[in-house]
Amino acid sequence: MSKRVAFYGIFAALAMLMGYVEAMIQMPIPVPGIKLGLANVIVIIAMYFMGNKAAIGINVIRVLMSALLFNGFSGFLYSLSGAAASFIVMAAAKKIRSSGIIGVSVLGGVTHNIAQIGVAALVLNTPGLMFYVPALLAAGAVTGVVIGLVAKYCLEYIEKTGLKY
Amino acid sequence: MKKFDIIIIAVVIAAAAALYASGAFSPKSGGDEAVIYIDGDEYARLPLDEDTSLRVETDEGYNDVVIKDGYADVTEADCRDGLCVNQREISKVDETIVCLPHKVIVEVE
Repeated sequence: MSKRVAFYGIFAALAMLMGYVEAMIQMPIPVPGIKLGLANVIVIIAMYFMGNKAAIGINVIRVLMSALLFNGFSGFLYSLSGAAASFIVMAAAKKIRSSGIIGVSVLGGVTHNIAQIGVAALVLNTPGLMFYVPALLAAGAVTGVVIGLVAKYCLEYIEKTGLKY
Repeated sequence: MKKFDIIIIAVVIAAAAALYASGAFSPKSGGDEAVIYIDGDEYARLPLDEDTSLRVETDEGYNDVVIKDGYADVTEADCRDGLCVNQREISKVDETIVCLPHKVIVEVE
């Protein structure tokens, strides 16, 4: 039990840290909603290493704590909708037997981007935002591959150390 | 990489290309006015045929909107990501420049 608590703490802290690091990285493409999704590395590792239930918990803690500590609640609705939508899609994709981490990560990245821009278009009542959808799809594919590869290598390393949840 | 991964990537890229090429998500004709919204409420309307500039002040910070040669652009802002400044100038109906942190939107109508 205490081991689990420690794992939750470490993963939640890492996910928040990734979000913070990401805020310092400038994306080269000026499209609202595009980001690298570094925090998703941790969410994906948690999904495969600890299971969906643990990953949901870590994800919720991350979104809440990041809003409280760094971002304020102005972006809370966007990050929550993005995180929830991408998690649901990733969990569903993970269930497909032939699925791999990179495919799951790409689907997660794409869903995250589309959900955020969709919510923004609704909240701000600006259908013109949907012009960004093709760019967000392409960007989600690229960042998803990067994030998926990082998660994959981390998981292989964790497996090698023999660490068990 | 598994076959599943490659299929997913290919489908996403193809969808992006198809949507882009179809023009369903592209702006159309030229517009007359740049309308500035803060949190969904109209804040100002600037005709595009008149060179002006306006500092949009919100509770979160400011965005400088400039109208020049029929285009609207955000030239300066103190938001945390600066994405609005990097976005291209706009002139066509429904095109937007968005500052998500400040909830400021410049839209051509």
